[in-house]
Amino acid sequence: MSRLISIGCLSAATVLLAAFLAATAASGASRASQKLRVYAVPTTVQFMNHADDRLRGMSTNPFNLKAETVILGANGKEKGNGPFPGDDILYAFKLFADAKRTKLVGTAMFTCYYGFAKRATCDSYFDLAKGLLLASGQVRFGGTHFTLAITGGTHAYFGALGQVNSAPAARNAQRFDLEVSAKPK
Amino acid sequence: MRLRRSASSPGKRVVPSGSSGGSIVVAGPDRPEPRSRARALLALLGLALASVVVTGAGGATGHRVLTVYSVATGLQYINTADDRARGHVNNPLDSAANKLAPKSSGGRNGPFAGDVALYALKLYSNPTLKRPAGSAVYTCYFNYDRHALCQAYYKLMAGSTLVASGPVDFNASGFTIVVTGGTKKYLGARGEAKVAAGPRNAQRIDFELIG
Repeated sequence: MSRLISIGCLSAATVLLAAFLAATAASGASRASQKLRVYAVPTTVQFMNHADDRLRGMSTNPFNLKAETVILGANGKEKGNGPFPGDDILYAFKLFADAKRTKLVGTAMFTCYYGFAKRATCDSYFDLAKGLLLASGQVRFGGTHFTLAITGGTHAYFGALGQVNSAPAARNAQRFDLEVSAKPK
Repeated sequence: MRLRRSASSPGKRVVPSGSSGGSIVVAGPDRPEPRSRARALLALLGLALASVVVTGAGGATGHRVLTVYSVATGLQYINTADDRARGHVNNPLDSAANKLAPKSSGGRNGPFAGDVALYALKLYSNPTLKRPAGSAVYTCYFNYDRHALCQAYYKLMAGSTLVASGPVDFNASGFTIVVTGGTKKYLGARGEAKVAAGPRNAQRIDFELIG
């Protein structure tokens, strides 16, 4: 009887263990999740004003558009300083481990291409000691709260996925909370 | 499908192997003892574990490497000096941000922030550069100090593609960018593309992929 019970237990254990391991393998549970908080201080900002390209694009373009009002929505005139569609801004940041900016941990670069309503698609990279992280997403001009998707990384962040949450911090800095799920090589 | 018993060996059990009528003869007693059952279950456990491990290694990880050699065949440089100059005068930035404008961006020795370089490349499968392996295009958006964010796609044989992007330091001879996806043979691929100087003005590209 006890043998039967032990065989039964062994069978059940086999099934359970196999199911657990299969689920683990399928879900990629070997991914290591980590959270990282950095404080970003802007060091260089370059605005690219593409007014001439926009103007040229109104008269010469491959689309069958009756141009100005469709493209600018303001009778063909740019009102205010933009950013307008096609403009881009390049932001360089120094990254610190603490809000007091005592420990430099890397740099970041944002390249933001503007579309309509002062909203940009920003491609960014974070150059950190353990590797590189790429993140992209939409950022409103002047907006301090935004979330980017992490699309990949190198070295310790090989095959990384995750997100970057941004919030304002003291003294004109941004706080970036990185949630990274990487797959070790 | 049917079970049959070997006439020559009554102690052997026959396990069906498919609908074709073929069978595999497995040694074993007619009525297995409980201890033998336990051994069989242990073996089953081992097999199950092994299959799961193999599945995990091949499916979830799926580590792949690929090496190709690239040779540049075309280059277009977009000098955006006018947009930069206009952007210094007419922009929506506040005074604090305007103070962070780069110091030198009007000299002759670029590339400067906002400039773009497009490269067309041919790919080869070996360093002799005789066996074509596809083509590639890099679009590099320059930022500061001769650094750029480059977006690349590699069109490999049989229509498979790999897409990668990342920073490139144009002061250095090599770089590593991030593979963010692919199609067909590389559907769902992720990883790295490590680029280094290769033979005869070529560059060697080592892809390390998962998925």
